[in-house]
Amino acid sequence: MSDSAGFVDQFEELFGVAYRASFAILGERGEAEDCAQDALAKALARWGRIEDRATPWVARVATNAAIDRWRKRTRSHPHEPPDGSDDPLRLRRADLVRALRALPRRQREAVVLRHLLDLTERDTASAMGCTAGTVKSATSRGLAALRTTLGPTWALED
Amino acid sequence: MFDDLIDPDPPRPGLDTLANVSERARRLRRRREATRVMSLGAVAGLLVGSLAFVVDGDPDRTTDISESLDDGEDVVVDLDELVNPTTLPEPATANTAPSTAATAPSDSSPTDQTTTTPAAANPATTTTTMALPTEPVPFLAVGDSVMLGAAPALSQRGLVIDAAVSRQMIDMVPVFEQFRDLGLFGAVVVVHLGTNGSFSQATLDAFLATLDGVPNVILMTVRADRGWTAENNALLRAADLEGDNKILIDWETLSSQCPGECFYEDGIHLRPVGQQYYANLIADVIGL
Repeated sequence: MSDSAGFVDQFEELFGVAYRASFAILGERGEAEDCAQDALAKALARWGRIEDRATPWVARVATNAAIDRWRKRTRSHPHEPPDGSDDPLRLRRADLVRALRALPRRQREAVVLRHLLDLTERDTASAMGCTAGTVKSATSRGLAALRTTLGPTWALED
Repeated sequence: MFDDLIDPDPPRPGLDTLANVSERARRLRRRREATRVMSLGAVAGLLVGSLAFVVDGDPDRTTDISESLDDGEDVVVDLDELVNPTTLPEPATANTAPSTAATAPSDSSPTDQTTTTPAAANPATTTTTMALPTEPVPFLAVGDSVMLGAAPALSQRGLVIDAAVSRQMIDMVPVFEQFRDLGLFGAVVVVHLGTNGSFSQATLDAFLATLDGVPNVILMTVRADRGWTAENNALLRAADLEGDNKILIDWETLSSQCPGECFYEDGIHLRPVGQQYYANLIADVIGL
């Protein structure tokens, strides 16, 4: 099928994007791989409609799915530290996800797509279905809110 | 700036990964096809008679509606998911009989439908919902397929949406009771139900009683050329009392002011421009 041929061609690249987003949020390889596979399955299931913007689409879906998984994980173990240890990197990740979750969805997506996944403004706009100007303002507001929440040690620059 | 959170040695996907993804995609397609059949049935039922739909209907119209609902499925959440159900083992005899689920029930609906599904493949397990510590949802919107179509636009404005095809108010009463008991309601709950069948005063009262503690309840009237619309809307309008926690968005009236081609041919489900208008109305009332 021609649809899936295009998907197969881009599979490795798309998996990389989805995994990068998932791991950055979840911090656990197995779970991140599973999350990435879910995102790619969604992409394949509607490939004909998203193939022209597959990379940003997969990035957005994987990011939101990873944040959802993180939320479920913390709700399943409410009395434990977010990632089960006091490892500084894990705590840093947990702080970031908490701060991201507190952002309005558009700001959150803009920050993640631009700065976690290093997408261009144009690709981010494509993923979010908005203009590059909207991406710029949403990113700026999102980073400002993160600076307030996370403090100066994060060096969050526009 | 997030470099330390990135896996320095990410896995390279192999053929087994591609096979897994393909299988998951196949399952997704099957599930979406089932949803699509259900939504087409609901749309056909909402048009003026299924025969007229078959004779005069353009297949593209339902495809468009179905695709808009499909887009909505990407962003909606399941309230059960927010409650965080946990699967616990149960005795083997607990779930051996076929389960009966009403897909489009209504306390006095002329469109009652019931489907019977076989018991779970593994009768030794069943799903049990456990009450876990709560985290209120600040801006929650609950509705049927009209809201489902507009879910991406609502989500972009910061709402958490739970919307589903063929949903009726009476089905949401026990769900909302559980939601209330778990403290999951936040500052705002938007409700847009009543398109798919009539509800009684008693049902509306029971439903609204679950929202007594919510500071802002946004009720929306419905727009549909159906026999129950006027009565449902009358009950909704009457429920908005001065000084209470409810705010009415009279969708039946305001929808006619939507500029452009806002509705699909059924006059109920929203085209993209209508989805934006719908989301803007809600966001304006909430102040988002």
